[in-house]
Amino acid sequence: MKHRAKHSALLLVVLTAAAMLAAPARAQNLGGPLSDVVISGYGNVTWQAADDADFTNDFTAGFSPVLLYSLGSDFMFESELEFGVSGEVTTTSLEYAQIDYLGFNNVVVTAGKFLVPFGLFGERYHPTWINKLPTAPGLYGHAHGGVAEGGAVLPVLSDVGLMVKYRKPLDSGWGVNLAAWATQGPRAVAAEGDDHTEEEEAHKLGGIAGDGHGESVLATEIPAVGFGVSFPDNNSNKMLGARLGLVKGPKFEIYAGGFHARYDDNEDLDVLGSHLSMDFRSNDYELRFEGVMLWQDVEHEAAIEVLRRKGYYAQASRRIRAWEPVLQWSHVLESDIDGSVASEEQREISVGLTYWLEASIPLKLSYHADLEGDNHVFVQWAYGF
Amino acid sequence: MKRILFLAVLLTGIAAPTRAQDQSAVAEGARLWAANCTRCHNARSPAERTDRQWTTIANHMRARANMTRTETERIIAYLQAINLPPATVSSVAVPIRAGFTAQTATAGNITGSVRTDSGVESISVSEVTPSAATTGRVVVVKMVDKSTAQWRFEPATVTVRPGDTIRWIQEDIVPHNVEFRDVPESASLGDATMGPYVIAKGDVYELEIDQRFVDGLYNYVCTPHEPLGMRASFTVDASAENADVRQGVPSNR
Repeated sequence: MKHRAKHSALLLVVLTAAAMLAAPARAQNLGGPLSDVVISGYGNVTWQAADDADFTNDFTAGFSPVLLYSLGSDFMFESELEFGVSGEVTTTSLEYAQIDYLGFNNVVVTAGKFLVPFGLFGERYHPTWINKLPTAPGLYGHAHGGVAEGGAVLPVLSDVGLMVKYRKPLDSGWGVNLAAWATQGPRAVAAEGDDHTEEEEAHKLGGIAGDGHGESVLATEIPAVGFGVSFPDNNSNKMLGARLGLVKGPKFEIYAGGFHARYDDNEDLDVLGSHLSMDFRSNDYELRFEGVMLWQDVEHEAAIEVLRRKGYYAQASRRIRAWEPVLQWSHVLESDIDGSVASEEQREISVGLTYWLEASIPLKLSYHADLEGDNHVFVQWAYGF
Repeated sequence: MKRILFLAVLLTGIAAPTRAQDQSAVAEGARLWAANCTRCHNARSPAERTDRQWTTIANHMRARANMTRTETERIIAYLQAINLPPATVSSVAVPIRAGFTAQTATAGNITGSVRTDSGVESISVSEVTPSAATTGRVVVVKMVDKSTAQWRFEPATVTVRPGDTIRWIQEDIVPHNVEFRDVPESASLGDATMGPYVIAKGDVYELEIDQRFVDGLYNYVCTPHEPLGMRASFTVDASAENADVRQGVPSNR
């Protein structure tokens, strides 16, 4: 294990050195006229009501300041904190804190804690002033304001490591985008017997809980998997992933990607993920699709079985002057282990209407009908700055 | 471990260190801005940030949106080229020069600034020369965005006669311009092929239908917002009856 750790450390050093050597004579840019600090970010307040006997309505709020510092034209530091309050719970998380090397023309090298480019929602669409609905699609859990709910396939992934993004512009506005990353990866989180947390209890077999940006926990009998830096790494194995995309201007994007990691102490159990994401935009319309599949090895009755989880969502929206109606169908399919049902499917249809007070200030109203459970109404006022 | 090294070698191998800078490619920057920034969110007004801040933000978005350095530099060039302070006077913009310039002027005296490749120049001209023939009529076309990503010219089609003037009025805060795409073969628009950016609300860009224009259909766009549907056209028709502005808002000079 120590041998692998040394190799990983060596890899980081080699890549960093390669980036520095490939950018000669950049030092004169440090502290130059392009240097600056920018404070940006977003916030929201959300009101939720449900026809659940144990829940009537509630306010939540979130604030996510972003700090950007451009050191010359080649280096960039960026970070985002997320603060959320919901009832008696106040959450804080570091969504990303990364250093980017921008000296190459086609490549950006990123080190630190970053949003893993697995899918599009987590990397780009989840900020509340950008997300067209007050909540996240079901496969990502209803993460909003830094608080995730159960039933998701994955949380929004944020992890520590190294990432490289490559872009090759093609003719007629087309371009190829490639991203690859090596991060600390997930780890097994030991079950705590009967002393489960409220979130763990809620999700039962195969459920997922998390803060939406770090850990996710497969509860009870199934070994839990935690992503991100909320836990120390339990082995030397790293998550390796890549995403390939084809993009044409603002009109069309399609991405496919996947990752692999081993998450137990002995590095015997694999977790694999794959996704397909598409986005089509016309002048006023946008159609979006994302699907995720996850395979997780679990020790089940003295054998290693595979827990399969998958989900997708499709979303359509249309801008009518300052109004934007949104329709989303979200489906987390039944998961199983060797044919045994691990968790039931979840189907939800969401209808939303956004009024854009300004380009970065949406006022959203949405109704979410869960075909297997409770229905919810959300009103959200978000602000991007 | 081999997988990691293979991946690293592959990706670092295709990284060609280059600092190609083409600050004059602002038009391309406008298109890139529309093509990349609006993939995730509404377009923000360039006036929201300073030039230096846009550099930092563009670098931040480069990492997020997966853009090349050249693309990012062109977007920065575009944002900085049009990031002029809003007009402080009731103003009329006059297209003194083609390219990426913008200015504001009072009805009788130009007082404002012009953005050129070398920076912002303060100007003061004692008298504004009308850019349109006094015998023609003025057709008003609004440049609309309403801060909600509804990019359009209103109306999208008009008919004019030689001697008329088309006046594009900035209705909001996101800069727009007029760039001709398809014009009659014998038309010779010269510098007017791409007009200046109209920056502040109430500013206008006027184009006289003079000898450069022949009868026919002229399709034009707003350069940065063309991918978002900001396209329109006008028809020059010398035989149109009653000076005829069949659409648009006639206005007395």
